[in-house]
Amino acid sequence: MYPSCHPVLLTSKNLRKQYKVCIEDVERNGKLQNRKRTIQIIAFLTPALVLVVTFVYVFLGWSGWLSLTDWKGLGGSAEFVGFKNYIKMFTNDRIFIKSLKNTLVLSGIFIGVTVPLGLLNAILLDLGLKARRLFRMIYLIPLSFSFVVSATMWLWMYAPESGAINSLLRIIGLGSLTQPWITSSSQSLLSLAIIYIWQFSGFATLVYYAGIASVPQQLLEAALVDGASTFRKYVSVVIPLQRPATITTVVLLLMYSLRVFDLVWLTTGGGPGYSSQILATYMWRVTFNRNQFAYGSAIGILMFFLSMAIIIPFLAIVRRRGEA
Amino acid sequence: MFRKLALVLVVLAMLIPAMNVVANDNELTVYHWWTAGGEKEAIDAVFDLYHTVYPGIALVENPTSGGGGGIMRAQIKTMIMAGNAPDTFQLTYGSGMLASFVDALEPIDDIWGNIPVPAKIKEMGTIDGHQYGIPLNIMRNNCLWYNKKLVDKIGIEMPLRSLEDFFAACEKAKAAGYAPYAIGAGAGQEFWYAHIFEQFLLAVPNGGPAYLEKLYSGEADPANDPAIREVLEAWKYLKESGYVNTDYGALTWDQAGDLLISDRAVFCQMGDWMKGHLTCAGWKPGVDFGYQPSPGTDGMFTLHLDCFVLPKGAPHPTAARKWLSLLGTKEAETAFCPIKGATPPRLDAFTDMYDEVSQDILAAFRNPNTIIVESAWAAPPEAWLGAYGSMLSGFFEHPNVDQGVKDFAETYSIVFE
Amino acid sequence: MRKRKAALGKWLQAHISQQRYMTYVILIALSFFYLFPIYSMINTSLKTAEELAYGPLQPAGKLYLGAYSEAFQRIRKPFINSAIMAISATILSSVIGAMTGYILSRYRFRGSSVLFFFIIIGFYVAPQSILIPLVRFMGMLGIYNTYFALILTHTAYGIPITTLLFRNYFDPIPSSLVESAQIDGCSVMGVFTRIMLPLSLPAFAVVGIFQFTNIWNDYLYGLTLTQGVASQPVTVAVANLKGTTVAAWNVHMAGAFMSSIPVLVIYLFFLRLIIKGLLLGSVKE
Repeated sequence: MYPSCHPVLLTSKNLRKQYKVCIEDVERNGKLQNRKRTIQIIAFLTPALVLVVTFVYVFLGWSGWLSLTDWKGLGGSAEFVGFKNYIKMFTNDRIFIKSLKNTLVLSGIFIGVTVPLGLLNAILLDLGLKARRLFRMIYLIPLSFSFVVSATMWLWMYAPESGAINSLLRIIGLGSLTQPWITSSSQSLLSLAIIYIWQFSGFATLVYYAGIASVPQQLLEAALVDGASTFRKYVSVVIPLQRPATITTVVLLLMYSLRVFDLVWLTTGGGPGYSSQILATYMWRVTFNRNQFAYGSAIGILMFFLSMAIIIPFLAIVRRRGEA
Repeated sequence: MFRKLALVLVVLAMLIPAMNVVANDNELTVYHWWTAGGEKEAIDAVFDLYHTVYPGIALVENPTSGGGGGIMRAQIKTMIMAGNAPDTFQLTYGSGMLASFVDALEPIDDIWGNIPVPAKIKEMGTIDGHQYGIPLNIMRNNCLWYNKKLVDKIGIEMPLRSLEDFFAACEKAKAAGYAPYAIGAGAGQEFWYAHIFEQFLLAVPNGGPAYLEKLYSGEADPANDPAIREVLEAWKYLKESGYVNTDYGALTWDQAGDLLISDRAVFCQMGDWMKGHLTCAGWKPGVDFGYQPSPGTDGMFTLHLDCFVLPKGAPHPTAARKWLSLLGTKEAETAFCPIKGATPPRLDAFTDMYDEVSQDILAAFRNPNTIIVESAWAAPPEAWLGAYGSMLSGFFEHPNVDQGVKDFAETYSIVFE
Repeated sequence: MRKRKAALGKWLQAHISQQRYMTYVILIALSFFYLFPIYSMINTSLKTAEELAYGPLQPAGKLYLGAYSEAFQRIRKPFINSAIMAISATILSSVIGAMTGYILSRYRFRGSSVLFFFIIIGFYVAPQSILIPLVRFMGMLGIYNTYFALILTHTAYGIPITTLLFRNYFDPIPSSLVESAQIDGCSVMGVFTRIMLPLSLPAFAVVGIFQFTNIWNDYLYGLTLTQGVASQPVTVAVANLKGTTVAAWNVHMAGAFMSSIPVLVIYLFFLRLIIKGLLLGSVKE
């Protein structure tokens, strides 16, 4: 209801006194309201804060501390050794360098194909075919599968003798093109990249499709008036405007591909040799096969810094773009 | 309102498992990796025996397949790291493998008592004078299995006594249109390369059991030791002469055995668990398939034993101890080994229920002149199998001996760091 | 003049339909690429053991469901585990995300955007960076090797993205709506329950589906934090199907397909919501 000093309720008698008392009352109430509000805000934020602080920041710090020790073995002690693990990583561990390189190569192939493919698909969809919705669903279905399932599917496809791909090639007479795929150290990364492209091109398509849809109608009409063919329309108008979508897609896919584990682990396990060993699988090996928990933590922390180096500039750009 | 509900849910979620921790010693959880046909029946027989001897204890088994036990071991490590040690789990009974876990295991000399096994065997599982595992079965590693019908058809004279004989036989097989040597070391199974490496290392001139022991204990110098180079040269020859099936990188070990069964390949070097696989497919020893020690390893018996251990902080130590003491008995070995196709470690174990191949292996084992060699599964540190699986699979794909020797030495320093 | 027009018309006709034709060809070729592995999986899952030997491309004979029943026996409990875990974690992380997103959207106090930033960063932290402490922590809590560990883990790591999605959803709500409620004496909690929640049901749908599909498909946390059929999620169980010796591909494929049915159904029937979730989580800040 109305506070007691509302104009409607004030009588002319003792106007000023009544008003002063009322104001004090409202102020006190207000402060009470404020404090109650603050408590509720804190309460609302608490679950998220507790969980995120623990599971992200405390764990990161913990990992960081572990990475500065020499903890090895199940009952082993953990003594502080400074940056020894990090120095070892870069100077004395050829396998680490190889896994870092493999991760970057895999990311490169993956993103280098997925992004243009997504753009192509988006353009094709934008051409307004009747079956557009059907194709959109088809592109997105691979994204619904967990990596366990896609590893299962593609192991079946990639087996050199009895696999679906090579069998298909043989049947249509291109038997000479059969490849060893994941059993060859020169092709294992490429084979893995193909699986990722298969799974994520739908996502890239989606982002670009939204991006294309947001091209201002006037620009498109202007192009048509100028007599541009469809091809020109896309090349000169639509595609150059996709820079934000491209940056978004590249960064998100990159963030993802730096940490991939499931698919590689279940398909090649890092082999043959070290040809498809990537950061995440190497970290697992070091930690759980070699019992070098401190070194494994160091690799994990390195992966963290790598991700941050990419995402923080991106978030800064997006924020600037958002404010613009 | 929702907030309270959420909080209540979370708190409940954390309380319920605590309520599950009812300390009763009437439960035993066993971790192992015997999921394949033959192995599974074997361990089930031991579980049945346990139920007969100790009724009233609920036995929960957690078989985890894959990686030759590697995946199970990784899981056990995370459990121990989380402070949740299991009651008991399977390990290979060997100095290297046990050493990986010894900090988390209880010594069980009292349970061991006086199980009658050859001294060499007992030595393999002794760390700092204590026993940590009860061995259940012996697996012989240096076996060569062959498709007898094909061998007779091609006209190869068995047994093959040396690597030269072996390569000559491969040549004949290849000429007749078969894949001479079947390997199945596909994804997740690359450790088989370490196994095959061992077979060759025992057979090359500068190799042999003494050198193998030195290698596994970290005292060799692979960069300069001639044996390593010899093996890699032999492998290069093997691969480049086309003696190996083309899909070695895609098959599992049992699929390699299937190549024998389907008359497409002739030889396979695999431990004696291959026998179980072949007999399961209906093959008979001496008729369909034959067996001999790996070429060049006559008189040697490379083996590893499977054992179970007692972790520190096991939730049901009494039930676990009962399990372990049962495993060391003749009855347990008799229940397990024939079905699995393994050899019982006890020198006084019953022997009549084994088939002719197992009898042969048993006789070799008990022969005092046989040189017993601890294999790659047991002797070197646990990291050996994984590290050398990777390194050797890379070598095998593009054999370059000089680079191979370098890589071998590098991996050696990593494993024995 | 008329002749030229006619010629142009014919040329345009041919040209346009050629473009359409090419578009369809490319789209269909790509669809083949996307769908063939799936067809292969389903086809293989319907084969008997003998049919497996005939070659991967052979269509299955009659619809043999034996592989499915065998696979189902093996993944039944993990499937239930996944359901419990995914649904609980989805609800928890969505609710907490809604609460947090609401505060950060409507109450801009000093440091609220910094707070938001720190929460969002959590979405981009690789699991490898926190895997070992996670295991230790779960052990300390005593819930290691239970699906509670997974619920807690997925809730915690789901909060950054759900907070982001909800904050972006709440931002455009006009403040006049909120102010009038505040004058009427509504507290923070009141505004939340009486205004925000009813308005955000669509957001819950989008966020819930996004979270559910991601949590259901997780493998790494399941592999690390659980062992054994009693507590592992269905993804780990399906991966184990491969491990057993004789590569019973039909069983393996059957298990894989069964484990993907929930998410596949969501994709087929709620595609709009999936798309919204994917876009909201990526394009906006």
